[in-house]
Amino acid sequence: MAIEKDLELLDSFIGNRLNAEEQGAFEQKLNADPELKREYNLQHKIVEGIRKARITELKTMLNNVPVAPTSANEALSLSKVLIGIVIVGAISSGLYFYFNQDESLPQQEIVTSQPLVETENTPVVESTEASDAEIKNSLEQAAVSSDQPAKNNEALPVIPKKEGTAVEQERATAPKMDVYDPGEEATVNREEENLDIRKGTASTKEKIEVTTESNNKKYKFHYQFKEGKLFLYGSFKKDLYEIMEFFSDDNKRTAFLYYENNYYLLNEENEKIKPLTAIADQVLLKKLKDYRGN
Amino acid sequence: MVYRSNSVIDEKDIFERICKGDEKALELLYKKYYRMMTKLVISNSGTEDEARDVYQDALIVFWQKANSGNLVMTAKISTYIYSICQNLWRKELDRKKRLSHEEKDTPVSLDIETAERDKILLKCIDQLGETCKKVLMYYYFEEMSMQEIADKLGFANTDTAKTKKYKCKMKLDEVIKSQYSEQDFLD
Repeated sequence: MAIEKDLELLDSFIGNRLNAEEQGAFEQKLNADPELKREYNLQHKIVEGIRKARITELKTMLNNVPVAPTSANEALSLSKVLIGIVIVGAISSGLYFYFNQDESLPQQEIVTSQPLVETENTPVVESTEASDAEIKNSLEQAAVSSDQPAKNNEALPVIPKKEGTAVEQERATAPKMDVYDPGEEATVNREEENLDIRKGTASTKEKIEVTTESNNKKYKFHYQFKEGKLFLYGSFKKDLYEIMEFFSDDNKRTAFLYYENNYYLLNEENEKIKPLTAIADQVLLKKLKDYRGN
Repeated sequence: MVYRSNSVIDEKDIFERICKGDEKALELLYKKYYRMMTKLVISNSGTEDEARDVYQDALIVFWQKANSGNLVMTAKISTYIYSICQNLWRKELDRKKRLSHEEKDTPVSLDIETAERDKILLKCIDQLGETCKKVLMYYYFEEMSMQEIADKLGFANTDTAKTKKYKCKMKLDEVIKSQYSEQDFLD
């Protein structure tokens, strides 16, 4: 019968509490004592069961954490391609109707039709070149002003060769449009969060310097902007908080505090100590959540 | 519009909290690196489900090592977890390749027996109280010291924690032995 001391050692061995030397000594004992070995086999399986139960518990916890599926990124790229195709289709339709209205077009059609009768290869090149020039001009036209289609080709702005080539290449390798996707901004910014943003890689404007004060007896959940710094009054250190800064086109900053699942507007207007009031506006809350990624 | 976040989540803070068994910190980490880690698997012929499993397994390995005090971070947390994901996924791909060449009968039957035994154990563990479960899990999985267990669960001292752990383990052994014969486990 395995003595109690051996059973204690056995428990320490299975629980990885022994150093290398002690482990070696116990392994030798195991090999020499069949009853102890039997007990080891049983206890080992029980402890493995405990470990698996804990792993299951942790996995269940992680499964309840809301995360955006990664394949959504692929769907996003697909939607960009589809948007690109739709836009190219719309431009092509516009060009088609534009050509149909243009008086000079019929003459060119006649010109291209003749070479087609004579040879197979050359006319394709000629007509392509001719229509490319037309389309070059028209695309430039569309970029400059969609409201005033030129009636006379001579009035169209001259396209530098490089641009024209770029335009042709774009057409050749369509659809590859640089389409603005609002979701992309949030995606890019979320990826930036994975970097150490405090090193100041994200923006040229100086970040808000934050100081927390938990010892103030009067102000338990307040904030203050003073000399360009943000002071948070209250016990913020125990939990995590986040400062979200938004910059408008004229570089004006609007800041929010995220803390314990609530968002708070930070008014920089004066240096008064103000209470933190959670934002209740559902539309604004949704936007903030989208930016933050939760 | 430009958006910038000044999050106070930094590597050192997260690591310290994880070493102390803070599950909220683990959730934060999971969410933070989800896309990065799952992309690795998905871009290497894995599905979304497989990617999630691999990432969770890797994160749990990291969690266990950090809690047991056997981990000294010399690189970023993301680098460490990424390398665990790579290894796990490589093993899984090798396993799939092996299974497609070997006979399928033998490995499946062994898996079923192990799964059945795990179910039995899980039922027995569930019969213990919540505190007993935590003590045993912290001791055998997180490999926490008695002092850490005492602090986390609010025991008076390490002796109390040690006694509690001993009693909980005895109770589990009894539950298992009363319901199942030793042979059920060792076969």
